[in-house]
Amino acid sequence: MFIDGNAVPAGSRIEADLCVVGAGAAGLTLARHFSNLPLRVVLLESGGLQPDAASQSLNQGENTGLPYRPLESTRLRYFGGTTNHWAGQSVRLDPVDLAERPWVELGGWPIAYSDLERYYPEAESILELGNAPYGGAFWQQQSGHPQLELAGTDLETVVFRFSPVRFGGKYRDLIAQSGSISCYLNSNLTRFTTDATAGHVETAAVQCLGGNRFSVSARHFILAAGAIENCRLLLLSNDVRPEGLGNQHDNVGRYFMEHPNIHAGQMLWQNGAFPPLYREGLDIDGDRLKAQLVMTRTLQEREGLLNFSAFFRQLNARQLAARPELAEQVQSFIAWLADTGTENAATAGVADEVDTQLTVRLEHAPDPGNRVTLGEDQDLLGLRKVQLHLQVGEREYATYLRFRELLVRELGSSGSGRLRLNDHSEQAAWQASLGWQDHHLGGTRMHASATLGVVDADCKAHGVDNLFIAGASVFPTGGHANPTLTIVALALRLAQHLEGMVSP
Amino acid sequence: MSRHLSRRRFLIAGGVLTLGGAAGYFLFEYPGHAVPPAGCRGQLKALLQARPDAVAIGQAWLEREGGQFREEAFHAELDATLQARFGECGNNNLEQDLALLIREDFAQERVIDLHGWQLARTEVSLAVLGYLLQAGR
Repeated sequence: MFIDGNAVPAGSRIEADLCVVGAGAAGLTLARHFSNLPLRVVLLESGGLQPDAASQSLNQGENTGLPYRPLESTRLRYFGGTTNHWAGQSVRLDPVDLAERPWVELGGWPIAYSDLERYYPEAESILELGNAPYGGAFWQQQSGHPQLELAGTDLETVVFRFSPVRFGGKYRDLIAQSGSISCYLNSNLTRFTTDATAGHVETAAVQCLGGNRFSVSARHFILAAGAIENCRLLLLSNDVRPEGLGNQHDNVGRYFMEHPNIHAGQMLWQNGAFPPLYREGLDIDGDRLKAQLVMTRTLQEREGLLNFSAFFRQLNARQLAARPELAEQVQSFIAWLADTGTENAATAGVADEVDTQLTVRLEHAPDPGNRVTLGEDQDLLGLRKVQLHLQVGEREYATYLRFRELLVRELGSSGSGRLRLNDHSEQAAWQASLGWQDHHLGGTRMHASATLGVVDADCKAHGVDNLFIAGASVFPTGGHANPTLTIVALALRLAQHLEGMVSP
Repeated sequence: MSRHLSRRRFLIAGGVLTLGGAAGYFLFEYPGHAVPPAGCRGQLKALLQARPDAVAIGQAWLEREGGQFREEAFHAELDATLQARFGECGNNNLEQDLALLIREDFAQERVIDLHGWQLARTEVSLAVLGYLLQAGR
């Protein structure tokens, strides 16, 4: 059922078995799992069923690192969370993403890939992604559109799929009709209160923008408010320990990651046509697809590289009107030189079929200096807003330069076409040109050791016996994959773990 | 000549038809062929004379190189390359063989950056030849 927090008797304490904070992809996956169990589950949602400016303003914060979008524009604060406006692009993490990599300091997850992999099928079902593999060979056969015939074994095609699911819309009726789930709307967690040791959460303190206050007492609490807010709420829960809850080793907020991206250059297709499999919006029997080029594990291990992906996008009219120097000459020359025997095939192609923009998405290596902290400004609830500090380092830059070389090599040697690379010879200028995916990862990283992580392999906060964390904030590393599919898979894993703890 | 090259011929040709980007002029990696292969040069000349795209690319590269370009060395290297790669020519597969050579350049990362375009050394060599032919040199 839904309950407006403004209507809860002021000062009351609600009793529950589980208290889930946040009704986004992770929180609603947990709620879905518990909806048919004889448990009392409280789901706290900051916003309502529709967006409103006041709730959204609670996402404001300050950026102190590389240029970044306003924090309130990168997340949504109402029932369904950021899935209310996500693009839906989905792919699994690679096994290498969870592996210990000597060239990635503090990489490696404390769980085996198989421990995550077994939850992906259900997560894909929730996201309505179907059960097809992601490999290029499968989709080549399925679609009839050939994948790029790359000459080497260093790059491969991975086909991302697009989920149509908006969690708010999909699970609204389920929550409304559930006898187990009580979803309190317009109800903001302001802090957790704990026992005198800060080793056990006693209540979740809740405040509405209208001024009403109440609290939730539960056996277990699950923080699922998004990576930035997860960090913030732990730091704000400082009644007993001034450094915040679960932060005895100063890890909360650190190792924050994103997926930086950048326009790396322009691809000129040698045969005069942008391969359909690599286009955005390709629809094969209802599956929306987009193929990308990624680095194989063999390559990453051989050269000590991070995990990047690259995709192509048709140019817009303005870009097409401003073709770079020599574009026309290179287009016709490479067509003539092509061994297809098709004289001037590229010349015959229309411009928007020939030219495409190359965009590279970067894995962001974990760095303790990239972090969420509390600033001095306060939000409408009187709570300190966050400061976000993000930098991108030498390893990302080195991988970027090498990845571009490999793309030139593979796309040229396969006869696919030629790349014109943007001038990114200066690292500082390159950093300033980076864009972002609004993928918030890390900040409460998972690690077996309390000194190096915030949660353990079960996503339980180190040093707090009844606090669990869900969402991408627990990711120790983020690969290049869009995180939501893995967020849902990890939430399913956590739900199963909790079920064993709380079942009557 | 077969459309598909033997590995030996590929390796020889790939090593020879290269541009010395760092040095600013063309480099010999397979010297010793003093006799110009008239057949190949004639074929190439016929192919490239009608290619304003090659002229533009070649000119752009030469303008960037400025005074570092050594035309005599370029011609000597080209002749040696053609001799080693194609013998006396006279085949009908020159374009296809050049395309294979270009692919091999990319595979070996023998690439030249020209205004951001990442081009195979062989194709830049051909473009330069196209420019020189057009200039009557």
